Amino acid sequence: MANTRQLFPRARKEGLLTCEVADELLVYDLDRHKAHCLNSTAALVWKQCDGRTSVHEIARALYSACAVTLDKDMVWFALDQLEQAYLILMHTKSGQPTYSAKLTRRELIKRAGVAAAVGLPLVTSITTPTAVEAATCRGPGVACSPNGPNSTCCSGTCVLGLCT
Amino acid sequence: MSFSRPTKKPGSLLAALLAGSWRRSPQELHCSETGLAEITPLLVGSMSGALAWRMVRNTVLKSSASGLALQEAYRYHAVRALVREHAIKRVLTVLYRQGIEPILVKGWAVSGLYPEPALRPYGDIDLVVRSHQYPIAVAASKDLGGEYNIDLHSEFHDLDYHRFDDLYERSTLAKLDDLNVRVLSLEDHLRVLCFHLLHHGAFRPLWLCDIAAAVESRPTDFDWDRCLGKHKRRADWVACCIALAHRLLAARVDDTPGNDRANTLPDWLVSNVLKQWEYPYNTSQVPAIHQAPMAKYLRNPNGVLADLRRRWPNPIEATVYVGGPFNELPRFPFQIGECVARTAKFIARLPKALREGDG
Repeated sequence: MANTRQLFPRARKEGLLTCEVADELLVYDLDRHKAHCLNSTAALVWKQCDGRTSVHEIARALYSACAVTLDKDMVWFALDQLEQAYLILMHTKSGQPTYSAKLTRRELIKRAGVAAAVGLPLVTSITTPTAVEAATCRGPGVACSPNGPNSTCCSGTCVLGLCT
Repeated sequence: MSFSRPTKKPGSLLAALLAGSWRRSPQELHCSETGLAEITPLLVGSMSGALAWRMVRNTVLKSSASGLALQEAYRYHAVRALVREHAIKRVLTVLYRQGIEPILVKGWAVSGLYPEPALRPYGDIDLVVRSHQYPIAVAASKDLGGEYNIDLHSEFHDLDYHRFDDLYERSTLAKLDDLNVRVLSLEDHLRVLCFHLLHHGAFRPLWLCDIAAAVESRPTDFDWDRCLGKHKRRADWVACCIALAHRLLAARVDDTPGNDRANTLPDWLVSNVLKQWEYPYNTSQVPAIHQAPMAKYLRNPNGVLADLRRRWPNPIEATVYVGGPFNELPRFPFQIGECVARTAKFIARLPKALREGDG
């Protein structure tokens, strides 16, 4: 594992849509069509990832800016999840991409104690609720299945995979 | 608002939970965990999950299994709202480049009536263009691909009975970040929302929430004459929808045409909407429930009777289809009328369908 002082995580900016709701940050990846939910701790870590601040400095900055006590293991845990979600890039000072430490949540809780687990940074995937497609019916030019039992085209006609 | 008694039917439970949910400060909710568990699939499946989460999030139910499912629906719709807005910007930019300025109806145009965009999810982007621009708009939307779910309308024929130019003249511009989006005036939009709700048999509770939100957020100079229009029966349809929003969702309708109509709403209408809300899914509706186009049965009649039964029209849709009144009279004649009209249409289209089938 690379020395944590020499790693400079950078938050991805392109191809992402974000919005804050309550105490969470929701992120949609336009390239991968995936949605993620960052709890407040993970969101704080992500916002600190400017490509110039080391992991150690992120932990310190969070403490001084927001009075959030995160040891570097917790920051690593956040970074690991953010990296898996393709929301950050990890670089060494020389600019080479690298890989973060792999710490499981269980290991972290063991180390930090159950009380600290409440503030654990978490990045979760947002799942699609079932039957949510709202379109009353599909308009012209929208993809459809001509061989399916139920054509959902407004016109009732699906030609060459597109509603007429 | 209370619905702890489990004797209520799911449609009524759902109505009680959504009552006032569109307001900035919704009233306190008293609801049993069992009741919530019963209707959570209906809420999530009908895209009302985010609104329901708003009602539940400050109660003890927020950490129940149903509460967590609603919270997840809320997160999903919050993200989805971002994605849809991104799509609208893309689509409109392309159309503007072609010299087309469509009017955006429903969906995003209604979401502004809610405290947060996530509370009013929408699947398709309904854009109305002038008839001579329609082919260009269709070509442009095809180039964009199917992922944008654009529902293009040539004029307002299937949404309203007013001319495009009249509606355009009264329309306004709304801001989506730095992009101007043309939307209907509040008066015209409320009428369109009412017609849309009735046209689809009011199967989705969110549509009635739209009407409630539109009525409650109307400005003091709201022009009811413009909203109701000159067509007497259609004006009554609008009044009926507002009255429905009052009866089922406790919308505040004082000083509106819906206020008096609420006392004379036919029982069949209210009960039918509540029954629809027990299956508020796209997949339970026409045309998704049709097994095959009718023309297919001309070659192979297997299953035609079962499919004909599925095509028996909903009384609300049938009334609107034949332009009937919402009164206490039985709906059977209107349903028969709709079947006859649809059959006549089918026969008129038959030669073309057969030619295409042969091809």
